[in-house]
Amino acid sequence: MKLYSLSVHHKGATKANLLKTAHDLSSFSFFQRSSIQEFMTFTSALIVERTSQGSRASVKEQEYLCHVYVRNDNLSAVVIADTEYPQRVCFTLLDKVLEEFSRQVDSIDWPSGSPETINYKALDIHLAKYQNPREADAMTKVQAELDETKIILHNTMESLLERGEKLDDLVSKSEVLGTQSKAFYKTMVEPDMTLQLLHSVHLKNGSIAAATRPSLTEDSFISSSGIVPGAIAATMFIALLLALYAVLWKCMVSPPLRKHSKVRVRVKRRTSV
Amino acid sequence: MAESEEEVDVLVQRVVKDITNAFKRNPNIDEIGVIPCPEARYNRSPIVLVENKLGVESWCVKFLLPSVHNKLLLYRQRKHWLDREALADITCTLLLLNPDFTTAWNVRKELLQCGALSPEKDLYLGKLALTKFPKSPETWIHRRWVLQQILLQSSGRSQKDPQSEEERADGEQSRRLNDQLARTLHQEMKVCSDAACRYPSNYNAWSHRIWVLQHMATGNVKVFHDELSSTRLWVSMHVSDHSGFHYRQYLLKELIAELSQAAASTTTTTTSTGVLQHMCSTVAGISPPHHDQANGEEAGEDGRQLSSTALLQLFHQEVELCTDLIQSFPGHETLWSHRRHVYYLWHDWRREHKHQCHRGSNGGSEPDRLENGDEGPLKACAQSPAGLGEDGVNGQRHAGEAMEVDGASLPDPRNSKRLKRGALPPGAPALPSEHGFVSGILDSDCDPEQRRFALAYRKWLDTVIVQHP
Repeated sequence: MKLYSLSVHHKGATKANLLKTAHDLSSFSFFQRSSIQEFMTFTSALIVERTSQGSRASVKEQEYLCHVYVRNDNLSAVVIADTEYPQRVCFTLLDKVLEEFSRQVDSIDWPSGSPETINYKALDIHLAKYQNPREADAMTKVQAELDETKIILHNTMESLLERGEKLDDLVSKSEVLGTQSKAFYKTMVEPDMTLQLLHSVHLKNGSIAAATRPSLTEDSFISSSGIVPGAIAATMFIALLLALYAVLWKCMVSPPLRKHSKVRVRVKRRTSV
Repeated sequence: MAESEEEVDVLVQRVVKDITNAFKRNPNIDEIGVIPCPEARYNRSPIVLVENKLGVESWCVKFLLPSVHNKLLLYRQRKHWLDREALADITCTLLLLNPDFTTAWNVRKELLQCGALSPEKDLYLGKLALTKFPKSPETWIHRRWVLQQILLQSSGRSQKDPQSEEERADGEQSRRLNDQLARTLHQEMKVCSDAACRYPSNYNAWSHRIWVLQHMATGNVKVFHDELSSTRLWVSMHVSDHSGFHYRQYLLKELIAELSQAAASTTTTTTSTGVLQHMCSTVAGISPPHHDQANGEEAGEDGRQLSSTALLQLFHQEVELCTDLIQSFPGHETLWSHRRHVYYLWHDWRREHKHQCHRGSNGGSEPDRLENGDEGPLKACAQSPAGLGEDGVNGQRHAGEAMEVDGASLPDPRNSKRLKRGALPPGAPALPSEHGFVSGILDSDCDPEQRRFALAYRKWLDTVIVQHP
């Protein structure tokens, strides 16, 4: 069970303002880390923007769970964890962080602050400490202290977006994400390029190994969209079947002629002898 | 970017050379990856080496992979000759991009067999491939083949020893071989562990780990014990990783088999009793004062009692771990499934044990003696389970006030009173305590998933265990 990122935002009228963030990306592949970090920041801000004041929510996206708490004074925190990490402990962490933050940082700085100007150093320490939920958490305290607000559960990020809004559009318009991250997003959304390459390479090899294959099917396999050649093959097959049925039917229906001709032949032979 | 065939060829050759040079420059590369980079920047190599991590920019993969792939296939079809070095480089590049390409691994097998490659290189390449593709089945299969080759080589070498003249050289060489094997074993465990971290419930990695133990550590009780303790923390942090728990079940099963076998043989050597005593003391945390008792009794009897003591300790620890995790992390089916397995192993062993007692040479008197004997030498160790139980309860109290409310801690004192009358030592799993545990969970926890699992477990206890006593 892991926590990947912890961030504090101020929910403005239209946008969320990032105040401080901490990440633990050690479990990700080295070359993906910068893109993943940008994405986590982007996602956290988006979630804060789409969550209403004074509420808690958990948003599930693939194998990650993003937990958010937006306070009544618009100070909010988001923690991105995996699906194993207990939800209750996450919300304890968010409560704790926001309480501490609001004590240490003046509320005047919240709407306009940025990670460089805000002076709050404990976020990394909290993230590291809470990696082990049992050591960090006094288990029962939460149940007593957590107020009665229900935790809304969203099954995908899409459910946070408004009608007509697409995540792809938000990603391409974002200022937070660099070009490399946007390219990385495309590889996450579309099937892996390497896999596509391998598929085409395998099929090309099929043609090298068995050179006798008819070229028509070869071409039809290698083309990228499989629907049109598939439809053609299906039509041909159906036509073949229909032709067979027609021939059979004709055979069944036509009158038996051969018997008469055989009798005639035999009679003819006898008369000749 | 339309590139002509010659340009592609030149690019591919340059990239393959760059990769080989990167490995030569930095023998400590420990991870590979693809850098999402849609456009090439002219005259810059797509191979990036940063802090022991080797990266390939993604724009070159679409040229590199088909070209290298075709080259290898042409070699295989004998249409194009490649010398050994070129083969090694090409297969290396190919496998870092796509480790599931069996032909490339087979080419490397041939190179290994004719001596152009060393097995360590293949293991290293496999390890790198697994950092990006932790499930790749072909990599694991090839790894097993290479390990088999290593085992064959080392057994071949050790067989040559009787021919050697000096005994000291013999001893040293066999010790060196053992060290090497131990190092290989340790490395394999590490690779499996890394792969398991990178992909949840990585069945291939854990099955490989089991295979390695089966072939490189047969009957080695110490290794099993070490593995149990080293995976304990991992499993606590990966609570829904079924394969991890399955590995622990395998270790338990092997330990039961080994220790029962050790006990069954009447010619118990002092070393095995020594190991068992050591295990018992390390596991119990105290040095058992029944040393003197041991010297007085028969070795076989002592061995059997020690092994059953050790096994009881193992079971107790495992059940304790399971209980702890179930209570801390409600709603994970894996934990309940693990509990079932452990309980079933215990139940099975208990049954076997009773059969063995009844079949014992002393006849009828032995079961009683053993049952009482269980109490005797176990008193020292029994104090520790009770002590552990107390510590467990205190530890639970320390963790949070709710644990007192939690019904699960209550059955223990009730149970130990019951058990003092019976033959089972306290802390060992038993049907009444399991029922108590389930009732405790149902009373305290409000998580609907947890309730469902608890009820299913109770149903399992009633149907499976009660009907096969």
